[in-house]
Amino acid sequence: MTAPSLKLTAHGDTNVGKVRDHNEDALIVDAKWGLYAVFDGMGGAAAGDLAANRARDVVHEYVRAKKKAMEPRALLEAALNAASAAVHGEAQRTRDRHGMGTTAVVALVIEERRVVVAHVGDSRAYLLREGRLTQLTRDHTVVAELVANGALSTVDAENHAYKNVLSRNLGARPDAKPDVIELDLAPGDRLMLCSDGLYGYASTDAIQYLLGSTDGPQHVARDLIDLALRGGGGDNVTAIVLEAGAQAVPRATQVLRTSGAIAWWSRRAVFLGEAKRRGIAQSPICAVLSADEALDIVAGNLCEAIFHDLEKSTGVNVWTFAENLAHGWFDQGGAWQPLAELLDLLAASARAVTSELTSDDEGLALIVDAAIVRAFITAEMAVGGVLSERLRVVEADLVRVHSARHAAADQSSRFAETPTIPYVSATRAATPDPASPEVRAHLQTLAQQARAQVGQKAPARQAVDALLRAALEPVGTASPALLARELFGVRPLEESGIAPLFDALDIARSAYVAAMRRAGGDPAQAIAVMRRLAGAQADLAAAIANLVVEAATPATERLRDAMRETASLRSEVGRNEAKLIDLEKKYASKSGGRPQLPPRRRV
Amino acid sequence: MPSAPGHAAVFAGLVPAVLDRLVEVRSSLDHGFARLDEAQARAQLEQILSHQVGFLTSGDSTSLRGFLRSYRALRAADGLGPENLLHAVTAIGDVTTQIIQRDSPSGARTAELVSSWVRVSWSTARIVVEMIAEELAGRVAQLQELES
Repeated sequence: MTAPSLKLTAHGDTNVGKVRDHNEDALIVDAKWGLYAVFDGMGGAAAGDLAANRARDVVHEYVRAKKKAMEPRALLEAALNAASAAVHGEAQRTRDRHGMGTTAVVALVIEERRVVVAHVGDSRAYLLREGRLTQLTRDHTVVAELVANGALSTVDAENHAYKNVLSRNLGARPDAKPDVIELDLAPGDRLMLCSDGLYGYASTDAIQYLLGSTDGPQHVARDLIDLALRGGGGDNVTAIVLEAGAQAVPRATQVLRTSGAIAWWSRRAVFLGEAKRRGIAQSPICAVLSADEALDIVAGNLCEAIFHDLEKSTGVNVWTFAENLAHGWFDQGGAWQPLAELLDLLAASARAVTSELTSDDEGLALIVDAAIVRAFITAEMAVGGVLSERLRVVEADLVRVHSARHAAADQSSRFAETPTIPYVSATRAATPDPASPEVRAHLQTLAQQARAQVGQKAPARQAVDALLRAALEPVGTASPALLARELFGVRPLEESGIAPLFDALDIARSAYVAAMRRAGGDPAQAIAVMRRLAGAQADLAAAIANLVVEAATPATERLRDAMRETASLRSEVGRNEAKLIDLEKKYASKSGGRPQLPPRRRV
Repeated sequence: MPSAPGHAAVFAGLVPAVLDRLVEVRSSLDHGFARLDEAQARAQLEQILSHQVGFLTSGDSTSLRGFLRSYRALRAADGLGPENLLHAVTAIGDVTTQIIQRDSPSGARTAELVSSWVRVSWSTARIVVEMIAEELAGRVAQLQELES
């Protein structure tokens, strides 16, 4: 009996990446012929993209011409051999194209269920079935073949100098010798084809997570590309995602898309009325708008964005709304607090909708409520993103100004010797009420006992004293910022990281609490003492955190500079490797022999 | 903000499954977790969940706020920006919600638990955004100080 066919949807995407200046990947997404393929070209000058594009065209044309006449496995083998012969011929004809080649991973769908996958090189095919990701192809690299033959361990392979050197590619020889596998797709399966620019810059876990999302292939392919770019984007990256049948949509999502979205939209008057009642027009962000405009432009747009996001199970509309709102407000020099208050006002207005919905359908109200809170989380992420973007710009300015001043003061100094502590400004602590004489005396007594408990070991001993000083007079010379600097200074040299400072604060607090338990006495006074100690500890922890964050900033900026420099050096190495290949070939032809070197990959 | 000891007790029973899943997908949470081995990642994720459960129980965000400040500083020492932390806590919230939905019987009680949990995630995200805003304000002040 023939299994029923599955509706296949597919989408492919490619990106040049963050380091290279042109894209040497190519792809085929042809639903009509059931043909999907990724090619990753290699070779000096423009030869890489030439090889990939040439192979793509040959494979595409070959399958269109012969699909009806040939058996699928033989068809793909023949198509890839034809592509290899074409690229090889091209490389032989032109001197500056010697050594060019391309990888290929090709999937041919037959009868909407059966798929034949052929590959040459290290572009890969993965299958996601029931949430589990399986790599279908084995890389054709020298090292992978040594591992497969048992000549090399997987651990040694990881660090092998030739781990990226291909043992097979299209173009090195007139015939390609592809590996071919066949599989039957099941409903919900996802097949992914990709170049090494994806899996080289994204973990398998992350790929599995994104492929397993309920988003369609178009979104998943784009998210996979973004994942590789966030992971460094050191190479061209290409991904094609094929989905066999629709994944089962969770019931709650179905309810949200239909009843939830409608329930929200049909109560938009409740949302707008509540926003008006809560005074949206009085928000500083709406200062230039009339009351009706404030309601319409701010609350109305958010209401619509939430509706569209509920309907499509996405967050992109609320994200865009919040991002635009934040950019507009911050561009005017606005602070974060009024924006947070406006979001709180809108969230409270949304709660009025779910409260009303509860009386009609409690189950639906809970689902809609969770989805709306999720929408406000999305808004927080968008605002946080805008703030972070601005933070990076200000940090870069700060480092530039600071470096310029420092360089002007001492041209011979090195970054490693630059003191970081003077770079940090003290935070201004609020002046609390002074401690009463009884509380001061009690604190002093407790401090003596706490000192006895922790002994002389740094930095716990200093943390006990710092807590006492901050609890007694958290201003002037005992301000948390200054005390944090002192604590930072007593950190033992052999200790790495800042965890010991926080540990020391915890040890000191425990010692105070133990002393308090032993002392007993008036509960009201004990509460007053503990409040001061707790406040002092929170201030000190925050000051230490700020100190470390600020101290790390110059290093982070230098690290970014170093990464840019590394990328430039990599390009230089790539160019020199191409020259070296040319020289090796010239030498081989003069000596009458063929070069016996494995094909080189770009760095 | 949430104050739901009953939910916290139910959630405590789900923590092992949540932790297992978070450790399994740690690379997709953010780059900081991707670099950690299983034991380190588990320890850090356990800390985050523990403070979030504390917040779910008491409704008091002081401890969660204090922890996030320290944690932000620890991550900064690894060169991770505050936006990474924002993405990480949101992803942790999403994964946790999935596990609650997966491992709890469908019904009003699970829906209430999900509703409480997304509010914890929202508050956590807000605290991180607040930290970023404070950091930006501090940096702007420093820049003005240096330039003047």
